[in-house]
Amino acid sequence: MKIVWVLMGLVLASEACAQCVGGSLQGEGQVLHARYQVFSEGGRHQVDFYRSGNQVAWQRGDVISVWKKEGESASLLRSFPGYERSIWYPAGDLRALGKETRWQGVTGWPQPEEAGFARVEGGDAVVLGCPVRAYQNGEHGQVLWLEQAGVPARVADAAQQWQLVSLQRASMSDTFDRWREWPSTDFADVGDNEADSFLRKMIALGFVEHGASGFYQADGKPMQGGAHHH
Amino acid sequence: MKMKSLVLAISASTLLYGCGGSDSNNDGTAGGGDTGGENSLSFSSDQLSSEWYTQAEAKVDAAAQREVVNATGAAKNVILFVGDGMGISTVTAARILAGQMQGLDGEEYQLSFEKMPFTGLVKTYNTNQQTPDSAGTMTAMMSGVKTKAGVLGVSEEVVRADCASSQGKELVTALELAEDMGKSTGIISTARITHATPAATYAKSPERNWESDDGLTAEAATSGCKDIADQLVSFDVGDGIDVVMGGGRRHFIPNADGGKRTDGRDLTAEWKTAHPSGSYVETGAELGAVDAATVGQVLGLFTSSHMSYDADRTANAKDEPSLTEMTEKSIDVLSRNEDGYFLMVESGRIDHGHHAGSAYNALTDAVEFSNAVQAAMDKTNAEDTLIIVTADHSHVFTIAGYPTRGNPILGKVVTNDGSGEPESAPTLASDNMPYTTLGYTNGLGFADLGNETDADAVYGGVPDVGRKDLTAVDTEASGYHQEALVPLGSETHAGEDVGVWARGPGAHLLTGTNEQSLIFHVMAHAGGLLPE
Repeated sequence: MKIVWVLMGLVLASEACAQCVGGSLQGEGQVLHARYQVFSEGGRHQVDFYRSGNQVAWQRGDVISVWKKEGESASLLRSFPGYERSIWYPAGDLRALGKETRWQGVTGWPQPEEAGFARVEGGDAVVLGCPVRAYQNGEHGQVLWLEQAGVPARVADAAQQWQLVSLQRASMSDTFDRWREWPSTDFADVGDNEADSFLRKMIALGFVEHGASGFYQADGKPMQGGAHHH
Repeated sequence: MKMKSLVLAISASTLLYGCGGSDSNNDGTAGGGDTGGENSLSFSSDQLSSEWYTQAEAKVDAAAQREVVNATGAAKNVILFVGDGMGISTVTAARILAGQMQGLDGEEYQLSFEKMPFTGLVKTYNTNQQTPDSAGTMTAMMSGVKTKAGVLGVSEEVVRADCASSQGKELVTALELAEDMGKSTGIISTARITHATPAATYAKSPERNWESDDGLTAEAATSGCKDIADQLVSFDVGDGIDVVMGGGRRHFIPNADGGKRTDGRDLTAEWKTAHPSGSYVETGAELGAVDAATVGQVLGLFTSSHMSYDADRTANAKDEPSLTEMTEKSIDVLSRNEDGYFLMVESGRIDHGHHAGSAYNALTDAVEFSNAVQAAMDKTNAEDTLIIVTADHSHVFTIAGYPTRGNPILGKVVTNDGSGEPESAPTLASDNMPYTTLGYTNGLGFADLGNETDADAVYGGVPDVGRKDLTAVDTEASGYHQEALVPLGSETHAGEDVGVWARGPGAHLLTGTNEQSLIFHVMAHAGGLLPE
């Protein structure tokens, strides 16, 4: 197993140019932007993860899920770049819907140890120019953890694999600030705005579908974050 | 069957009881004064001593003694309570839930406003919609003029979201009339204070969603329409609105400070400058510290958007005031005016609970709404204060099946057996699965989300309608969402009439089945708001 992890790290390192230089991530800006390719039986898709302070975002395709910390809870802004519109779910509404509202539950990537993973001695490697540590949970749960950025370089279980393909910094104005500037409608107000063509279309499409999540499951496995949940 | 041909077989004991007194109904005989022989109807002692019988009899006696007050201006104070989306089925279910929360069967319980002496029905349609929205309905209540869905304080001639078409079509509201005659005024909502229902008390806008300047269209800005938050802060009738409490802070502050405004204005700062003796508060604790006996005007914006569901507020110890606390404080402040006051109180999140398909949230907010009405009843005198309680519209929310008496209102239907006693297990439908008493005709449908702290939970929300196997589901849990038939992204309003309950001078004028615009005229008449 150790050999596999080392080889995997070497492969990853060779797939992209170094994005950690001199101990720092390349690029400027307050936002960490990690791009993953997710492989599963259903095929391959791309998920972008953004993090800055008290907010994180997951983008898959035309939907961006922006979570913001509010005390111990989190609110969700689901943004649609194609329309430059958003639907906002305050923590109270998420709770009313019985959805995840704990910030710890949506923040993205907990430390592998917190998720029940054990360190694999000798499994350390370099990915995208950044040093990573190997962790294991059970037979199939594997993580290469990029401590410098606080994200995994690779997460795998029996069903799917998340593989980091780029890591950089981005500006707030190109990410969180921009998404929050788009006109938003509270989830609670959707019912009062059925005449709104955007909302009507989003409802017809299942406007909260396709959202990436990227959480570990309670057993330490990465969730099918980029996949459909229904 | 004609009464005179009826021969009653009665027991000897009942006969003795029935023949022992005078000819009044209370002595156990009936039949229009003809007490002789086979034409006499006699009441059993069981009937006469029945609690149902005696309570109803006492209520009729009390009603017969009641004097109505028709005089114009007899109501020094007028309070309008609006349970947003609180249709008849919501009132019934909330009544049962409130009773069951107190250990009762529930069906016999009375919400505070159900004890009021006068009740009527209200037709809620908008001029362009069979099933209405809150903007058009509240405009009708506040101005006496029904109008289109989506527009606030303007008549039906306007084109929605067309500023130019709305100019010259503004309607005068009861709140403005009260201010203009020197009364104090207040508005409270658990929704954003710029949301449709509270906004219809003070704003004139062809689009309910123009809550701050970021929402205005280019045409609106060019034609000179002001956003709703701006209209609230710059409201200049009388001395301005004296008490404003609710959510929606984001529409008052710049986007750079976490708000929505793009014009850089901080309306809270502008309000404080304009009201140096006033008090601006953002938390329940701050509101609690306000001295109602001395404070000037009050602006409370407690949340960025809507305030929390009451169940969420209490479960998470949020520092937001309850609707009851806001109502009590407002009355304490407003009642200092010897000329009286007008107060509008909205429970805005009953509506949102239903839209989300959560009977639990809708009903617990309705129970808190009832508590707020009780607080107002306790703090006022029926001789000089008209209190009206109503809803703007209903929801597609049903109470179904034949559950046994006292069956948990949020639970699965348990029917009675052939002898009228409850079965030992939930009744199964034709698909051999249990079903709940409460349900929705449309919306997101079923969700078993009782374990809301599950870290694996992610936001879904795609409609999941139709029948589900509820055998192992705790439908009384806060996270349970009722089944629905038609898949929609949000459960909808309904078009049937809503109730209106009233106490105080002019309250009797609300009886019958009336257009929603009648409510304005009752308030105007009783409060003496219209020029003579």
